[in-house]
Amino acid sequence: MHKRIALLLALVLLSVFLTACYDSREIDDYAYVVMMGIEHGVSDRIRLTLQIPEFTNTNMSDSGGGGGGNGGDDEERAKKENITVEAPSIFAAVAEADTFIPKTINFMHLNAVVVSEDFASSGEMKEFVVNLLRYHEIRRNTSIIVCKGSARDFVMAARPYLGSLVTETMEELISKADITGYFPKLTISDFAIKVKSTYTQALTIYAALNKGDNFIEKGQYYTGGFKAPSDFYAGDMPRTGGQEIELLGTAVFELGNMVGKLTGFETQMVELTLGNLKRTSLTIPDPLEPELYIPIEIKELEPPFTHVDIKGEKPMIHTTLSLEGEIVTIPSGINYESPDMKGIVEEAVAQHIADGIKRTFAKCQTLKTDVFEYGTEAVRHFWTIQEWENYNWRQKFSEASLMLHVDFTLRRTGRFIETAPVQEEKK
Amino acid sequence: MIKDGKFGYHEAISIFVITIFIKVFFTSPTMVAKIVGTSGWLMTLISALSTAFFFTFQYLLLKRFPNMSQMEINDTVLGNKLGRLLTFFFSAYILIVAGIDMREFIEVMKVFVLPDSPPSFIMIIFCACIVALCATGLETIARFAKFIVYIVIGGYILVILLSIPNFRLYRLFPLFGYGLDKTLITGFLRSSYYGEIALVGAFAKSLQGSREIKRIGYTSIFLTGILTSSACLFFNLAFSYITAQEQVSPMYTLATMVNLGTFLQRVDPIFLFLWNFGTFIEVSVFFYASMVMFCHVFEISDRRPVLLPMTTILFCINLIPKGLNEVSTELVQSLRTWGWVFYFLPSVLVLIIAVLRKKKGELNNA
Amino acid sequence: MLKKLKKLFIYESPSNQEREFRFPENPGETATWDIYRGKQENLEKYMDNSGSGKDQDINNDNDSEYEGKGSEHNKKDDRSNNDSQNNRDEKKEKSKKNDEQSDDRDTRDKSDNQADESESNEREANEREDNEANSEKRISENDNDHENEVNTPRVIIKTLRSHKPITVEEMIKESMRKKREKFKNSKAGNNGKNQKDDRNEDAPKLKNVSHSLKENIEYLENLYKIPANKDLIIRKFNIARKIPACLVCVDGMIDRRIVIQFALPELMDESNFKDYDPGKEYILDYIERNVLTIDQLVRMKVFDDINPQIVSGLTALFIEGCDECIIMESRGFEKRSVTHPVTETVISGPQEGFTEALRTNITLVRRIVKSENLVTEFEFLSKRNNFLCAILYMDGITNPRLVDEVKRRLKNLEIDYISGSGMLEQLIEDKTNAPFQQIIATERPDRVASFLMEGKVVIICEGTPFALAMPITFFDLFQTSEDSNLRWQYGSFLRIIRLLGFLLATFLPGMYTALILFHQEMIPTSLLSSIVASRAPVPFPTVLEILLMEFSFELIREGGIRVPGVTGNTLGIIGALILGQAAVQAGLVSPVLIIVVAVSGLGNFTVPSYSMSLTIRIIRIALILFGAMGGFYGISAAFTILMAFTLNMKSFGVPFFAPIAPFTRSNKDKIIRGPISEQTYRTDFLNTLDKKRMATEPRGWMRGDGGAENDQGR
Repeated sequence: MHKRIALLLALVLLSVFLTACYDSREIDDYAYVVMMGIEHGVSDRIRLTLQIPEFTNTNMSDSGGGGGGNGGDDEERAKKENITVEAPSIFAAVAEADTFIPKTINFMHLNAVVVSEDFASSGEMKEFVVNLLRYHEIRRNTSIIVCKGSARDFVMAARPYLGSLVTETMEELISKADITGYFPKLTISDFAIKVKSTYTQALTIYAALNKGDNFIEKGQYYTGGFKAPSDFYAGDMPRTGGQEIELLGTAVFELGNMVGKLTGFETQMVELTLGNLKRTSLTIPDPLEPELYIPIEIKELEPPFTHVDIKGEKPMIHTTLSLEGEIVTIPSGINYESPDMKGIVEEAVAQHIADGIKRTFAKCQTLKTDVFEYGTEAVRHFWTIQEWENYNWRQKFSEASLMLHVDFTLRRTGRFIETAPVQEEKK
Repeated sequence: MIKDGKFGYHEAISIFVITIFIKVFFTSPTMVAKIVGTSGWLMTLISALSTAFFFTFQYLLLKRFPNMSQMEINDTVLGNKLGRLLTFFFSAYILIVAGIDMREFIEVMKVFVLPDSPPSFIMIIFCACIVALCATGLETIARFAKFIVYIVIGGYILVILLSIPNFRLYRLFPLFGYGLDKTLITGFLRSSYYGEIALVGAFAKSLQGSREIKRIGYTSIFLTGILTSSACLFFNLAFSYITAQEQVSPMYTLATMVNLGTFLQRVDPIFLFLWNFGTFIEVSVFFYASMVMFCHVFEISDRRPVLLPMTTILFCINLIPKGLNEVSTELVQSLRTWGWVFYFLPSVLVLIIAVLRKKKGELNNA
Repeated sequence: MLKKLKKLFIYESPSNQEREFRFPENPGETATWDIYRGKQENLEKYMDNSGSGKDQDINNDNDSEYEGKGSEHNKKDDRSNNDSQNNRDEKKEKSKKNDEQSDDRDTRDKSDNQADESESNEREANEREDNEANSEKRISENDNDHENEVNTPRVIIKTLRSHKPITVEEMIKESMRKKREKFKNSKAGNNGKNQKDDRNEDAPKLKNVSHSLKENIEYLENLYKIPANKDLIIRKFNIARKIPACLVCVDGMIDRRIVIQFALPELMDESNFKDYDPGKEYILDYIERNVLTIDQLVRMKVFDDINPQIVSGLTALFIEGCDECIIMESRGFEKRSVTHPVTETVISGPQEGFTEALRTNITLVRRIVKSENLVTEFEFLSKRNNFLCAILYMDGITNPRLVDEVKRRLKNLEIDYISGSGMLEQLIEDKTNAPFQQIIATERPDRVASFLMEGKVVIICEGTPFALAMPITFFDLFQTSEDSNLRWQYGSFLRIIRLLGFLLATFLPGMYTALILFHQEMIPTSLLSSIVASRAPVPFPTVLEILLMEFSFELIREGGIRVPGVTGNTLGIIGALILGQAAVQAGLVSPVLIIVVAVSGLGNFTVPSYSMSLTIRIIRIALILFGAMGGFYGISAAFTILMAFTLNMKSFGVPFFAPIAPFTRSNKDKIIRGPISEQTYRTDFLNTLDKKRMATEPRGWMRGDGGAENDQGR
């Protein structure tokens, strides 16, 4: 009996061993897509761009030595590694790509999905992007980026920078959101949840290619007043060099369509209100000498407190931000460290932040998009889903009024305990 | 010869905790979200309470007939023929449940991990595990469960801890989901979720007396109630109630969302182990219980020859459903909603008849 | 059948006086006994034999405590004489008659012709029906049927020889066992027969030591096939120039000094026997008390007991007229000195290992466990090579039922040859097909000591430097003696490292295979890129690649042992390095894989038990195959199947994963080793007689006035 069972088991196992491995694929049989670009196609409904880097050992020495310099080789490579197909759907495009790519296309290591701004605004994006999650190879923590201009160009321009892999570059770049707050750190999962949610509206990272067009090499020196840093959209930064892609700002969606975008500064304000920024840097105009700036490092003292009053006709939103900070420099040389002067800076910072938030709030109200996620507070007043859905928060938000209170405490002043004036010519 | 053996409090609780709790890893929470929205955690607590209420009848029955298994009690109270008929139906039901749960696992497995493998391939491996576990007896299953319960609960807690960054408290609101009344009624009906505790009757002889059974039953219900409720709660925190309704397996999806730095992400295949071990045990327990009852009905003393044929039946039951949707939305849904008819109603009826006919077990040891 | 068997041993009616055997208590009675059995010529000869008669007198008269035994001696002696006389002339006739009597005896008798005492006894058991018939015949006729005469008293003697009372059931069992044995022997075929044919048929068939020295010598010469066999020394001499005697020992096994300095001179020296009064004292008693200056002396009567002693290197002294011989300790064969343990080296702790000598090993243990409760029982196991093993346990700690079980298993071994502890381990373990070992072999006396104190039974065998401890659990396989020698933090740390090593060794290659083939998403992209890049030139599928590499590492490991001399150790390292490097350069394997295989190999070496590390290597291969088949799903299936068999395993009734599954009360000594002072209880599953190891607070100085804060006034 034992022998027979053993024999039977052995036979079954043997047949399994011999015939199985249905899902087993050698690791190098796959073509790993790391970036995907989606936009309107010309000859078909969509144009899909896939970046499939070639993993070689020489990769490391090549880009490490070359950096951004030897363009010719890199361009050739970029051309080889990026493929663009036009097809009626994403997976049709993938199937078509299989006709000229020898390895199986695999999305397991997909790092970012890039959607062109046109495509996002046209309302087709929700259909394509949300359904991506249905496919088991696509990971929920893939980043989603809306880019200005062509998604194909963006994917082509996304090259490994100071590293060997574009995924590392993108991951590190996106993780910067925690520090600067100039763009949100959002994944395709967040997008899918928010786009269907009744509490909030969807957001994505806004990005663009910056080829240095805004960079004016020679000209008149700047004499204008104070400008908040990053208070512009991606692609507008006056810079040159480095890699071309640039993440800055937020793409704002309403009902799955992109309806607007926030600047870097506005995004920073939103992130501060949401409590996502544990620490960031902010530059404010010097309260006493408005020509000059005071850079300040801001930390969150307490999580932001929000209460939404829905008793009235229009909801009242009360928000309190508690922040603390540290002065980085004082170009004006005014002794803000002293207890009398400290209050002035604190007041100025609080005012600056409050202004920024109010500005952003007003902008979002016109877009009917609750980027501050105040809906999540409003929902606490409801017992059942039916009541909540009937309340129609989206409509109510655009009518809401904001009561903002910002507390800022100056804790430290860097390594200087007070500012001794720079020697000036005696008059 | 397959022996039941004896096992203690810890092992028994491990068995029931795994058997009941493992279902939360599959499509059940999605269905819960669909029915009651955000208040799944509350609903499942109500289910646990009503299960505890139902279990009391079974406990009273087992207490009335100490040192007897459910099958023997059925025979004593209802007479040999009717009792065996009841046992046979229950045995068949349990086998079908085992088959459906196994198919559910296989479908989910196919969706997430092994999309190209035919179900029969996954089933053959699965059946090999069941045969190995059942051939070595209930005691071994209990001991294995003891091991695995740490892994399952530890892994579950780990997934939850790693997912904390994805949690948003507001997703819990509105508190009562689609209405308190709906939550309460569904909670009562879905007590079948905890129905596996009724298998304690089949294993009664391996446990140490009715006091122990009482402890095991209530502790298991309590533990799984807490665990399942927490799972529903956390799924709700991670997905809004709308997104939660779409997931094939919220738990696995939760694991895929883990994203802590560049290294600690995409760790979800590790959690496959929890699933696999847990489901192996769950189905084995069902299967074993079914086998015990079957052998009792036909007075088969040596269970080994029954093992392989029954595995074949299980395999065939597995092949019946057409696909995932049929399994999750129809079969599993009806099991969870109407399972209590099979799990608890017989005990209640048998208890009533026993009281009416004034049958009582011997009080030699109790 | 059984009823008939019972009849044989039960005295049915008082009228059957002949069956109520009573041992003859004095020479007169013996004579009557013999007359009754119709052996007059024997009796006459017996009476004439003055020498032995004298001895007998001494035996009977002087020492009252010997009386009972003495009478037995007479009986046996009588019988042996009887045999020696009768055998020669009756043998052939007897066999012929037997042939005629029954057909089934036919084959047996051919071998029985030459068979010695025990075999004819065995035949007795088989022929109980004949016996019964015979005895009945005898009762009624009381004639001189020689054959029946020969048969019947043997039955009596057989029952006589067992000194303790035997129940009927036991006798039945015994006879059944012998019958089976007999059957096996006959099955064994002609080999045995041919061997026996060589023997001198005329030699006396002795069961016990004979009074006649000549007979003893003849018997021994026949048994040991002297002169063909050159190993046995039979040194004939006269005690005090009067009494003929001989020393029997095996050349090479003995310490010559004992024989030359302390046995022969003392015995031969006449002055030693000045006080000897043959009338008052039994010669053996005298020699034992006054002459031989050797520490260990035992007296033995039965040759079955004596022979194993002689072949193990003890010296037997046979004296004319004595039906006992003195066995003296003289073992002095060449043996290895106590050295470092080879397989279980530790850094802190004693550095002694067992050797091949049983005595030395027991001494090593006793030096650690200096307790009157340490019991050492000896047992000869195999039939042909008289394999000696010692069963050690702590009386008052070890559960007696465990000791009984171990002894039961040892005693019921029916095997010709056991080479050492490894073979014994396989013969007494619970499940032969189980994946893990169920008995632990250790080379370290301190480990044996701790096993003993924990309540386990230890078997130490002759000829192997490994002691077997039982029962064991999974966690014992991870412990070394170092754990308890070190402070608990270090001990726990080492144990965790070891467990990690075990897990790595078992699961890493399988997991790697599954990861590479099924779960590519789990590999961080940067790692993936380097794996893909390194795998690009490799032509094999991953499974083949990893199996190839595993196989070559196993080759290196196994080959390294065989390589002679110092190079063996280095070959392993260098071979692995060169092979790995070359394989990578040749594009046969990817470098990541080399690391995987090397790490799992290293992990394997952290496991202290050699058997365990072999188990791991086998499981590893299985896991690789399952991993290649179904990824993590396959691995979990393999693990489940493995666990199903492992959890079903028991070592002497103790489940393999005892303190965890099933849950029993235990100290913190499974993976984390708690502080020594908290190891209050012995492991629960061993059901020891003394559950507590120490006081609840063993450090008495912590209590009382001084307490822990006593700083001597500083």
